[in-house]
Amino acid sequence: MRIFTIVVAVYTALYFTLGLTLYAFAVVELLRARRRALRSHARRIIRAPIVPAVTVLVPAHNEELVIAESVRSILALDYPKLSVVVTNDGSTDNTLGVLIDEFELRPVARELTDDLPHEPLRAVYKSEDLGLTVLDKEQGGRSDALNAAICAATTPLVCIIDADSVLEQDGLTQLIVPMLEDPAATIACGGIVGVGNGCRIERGQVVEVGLARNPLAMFQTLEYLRAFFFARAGLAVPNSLHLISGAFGLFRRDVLIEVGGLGKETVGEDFDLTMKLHRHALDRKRPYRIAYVSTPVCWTEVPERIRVLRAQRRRWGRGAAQVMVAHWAFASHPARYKRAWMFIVPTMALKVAGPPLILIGLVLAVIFAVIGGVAWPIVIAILAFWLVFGLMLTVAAFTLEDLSPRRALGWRRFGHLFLFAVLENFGYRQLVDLWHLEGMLTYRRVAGWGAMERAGFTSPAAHS
Amino acid sequence: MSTILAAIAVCVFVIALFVALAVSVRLEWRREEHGRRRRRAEIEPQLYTYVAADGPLPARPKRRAERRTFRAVAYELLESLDDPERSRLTDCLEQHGLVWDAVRELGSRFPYRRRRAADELALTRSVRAAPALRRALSDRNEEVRLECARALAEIGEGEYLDELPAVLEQASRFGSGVASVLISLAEREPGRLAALCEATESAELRSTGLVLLGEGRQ
Repeated sequence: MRIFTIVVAVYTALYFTLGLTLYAFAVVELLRARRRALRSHARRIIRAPIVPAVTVLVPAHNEELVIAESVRSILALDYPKLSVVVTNDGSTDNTLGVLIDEFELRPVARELTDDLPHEPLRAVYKSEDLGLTVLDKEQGGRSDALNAAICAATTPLVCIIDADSVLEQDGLTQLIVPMLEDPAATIACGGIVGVGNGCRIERGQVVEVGLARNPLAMFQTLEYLRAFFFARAGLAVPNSLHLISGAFGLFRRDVLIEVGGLGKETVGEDFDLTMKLHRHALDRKRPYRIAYVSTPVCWTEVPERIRVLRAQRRRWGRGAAQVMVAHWAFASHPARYKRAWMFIVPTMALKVAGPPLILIGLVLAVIFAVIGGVAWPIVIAILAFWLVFGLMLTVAAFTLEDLSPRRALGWRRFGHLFLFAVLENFGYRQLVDLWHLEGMLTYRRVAGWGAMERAGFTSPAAHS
Repeated sequence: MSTILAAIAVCVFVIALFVALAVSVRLEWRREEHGRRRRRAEIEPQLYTYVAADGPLPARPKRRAERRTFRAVAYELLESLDDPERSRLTDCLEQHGLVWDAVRELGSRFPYRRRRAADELALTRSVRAAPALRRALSDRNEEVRLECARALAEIGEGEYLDELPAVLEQASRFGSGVASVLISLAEREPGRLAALCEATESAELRSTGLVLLGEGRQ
């Protein structure tokens, strides 16, 4: 009982301290972002001949429903030196056919460097007019598909996005600003990924930001708000961003090759890659920066079915555990990694240890209450504390969203989100923690692609 | 038990504070947005007809909010204008004292305000702001120094450009700030940029300058 109390107290204290610190940092980051948004050199440089060329890399596996819209949204980006490489990673549906028909692709000779290992290619298709290349290869998983695309890219910067992401038209311009500000030190940059369910998309562009009608998607909207406005914006200030979302991130190609590309040993490849970038620079004592743009730059479709969500969360849980094991050398050397360690390790510890601790805590609290070890009012008070504490962090994330340059200040949105912030504590959070724990328990398993079921983004007709 | 209840009470209090903050932000935003739209609807037609040489000088904005909106509309417009319309609009801003507002802001204690002021002065290309911008080349903040250098490059008055090479060479890193000054020099004073490329010891400055000059000739 005493050990349990101590563990809960330590966990609560760590959670509270980290939450408070990250909130303060996130406020700083978002205020900075608003000031940066006043005017920027970036817009001038983007019109000049010195703008760096960027290749957008899109890994795709069974994405026939969304791939055309996604590629169209990338090609519509407001960026002058842009090329796109899509890797069709052994799709069993008509992904390749859709791409060939939609963009009038022609087969060409294979021109790939051998900087990174990947599964064999079947064919390469190109549309010279659009700057689009499609690699058709044997299935090897998302990391393998991206490694092949990195080999096909010839530009100094590469942008990794998911096939189901829809980008803001100036998303890439926003993301490249930190790279232009300090090109020597900035090795990667991530941005805010919003939930696209409920948004109106026309010609590959989000024309109206809305809220999802599906309760599961609403709960995930809250999770995205907390993750991107709270944790990641906060971690960016001390240069300790632990994860650049695979949905949309910009990287220096030479550094990606130096770190060996994306790892195939973990399903949390984006988490693993960001950690590798930190360690690579810190081990070599190189000045570096992993930057963050506190503006929604990209929208993604979240699962609306329990079965798909469960598979996704198990995958995330497994990925988190695998990354923790893979980077144990980072976690066990605080003196070597100093500031990055100070913020990343507690965040990772809470991410990995949080779900089992909360679930075990819940079960033990009920058991102790039943056998008479603890009075019921105390158990209820502890649960109530966790409910209001969680709600406090969520509402704090709302205020952070209000500070962002492209804020959504509707009353309905606020009311709906607040309602779901209360509701998520009664079942949803526990379920997600359980799935996370399930995933962690199967951390030895390495799967190729997650089973995401796409509905496709809302078309104007469907929306009306 | 009392500790837990106290913690709950604190959390509830903080939630109430956050909710109050969110509500007040929304109320204030609505009020400001409403006022901004109304003021824009008045200012925009006046400015557009004046710039097109069809209308009289717009009325001088008196209240602070009006001046802010006037500045915002004018600077948005300046970004898309070329001479002689640009000069007409700059004249208007000078006559209404809005250029001096920006010059005064160069002395603000907040770096982002000084930077924004320099950015606005770069848009106006007002020669009268050049002495103040040259003084600001010794600002303690590097971003402000570079923004002022860019404004001077945009203004393009010979005597004020002598100090630009030193500002560029002393920059701690070759980033967008330096590149932006070079772009302005390439557009407004290509001769100066060519001289800088010859004289500089920085390989990055020279190569970027030459690329920009090459593009300019094409």
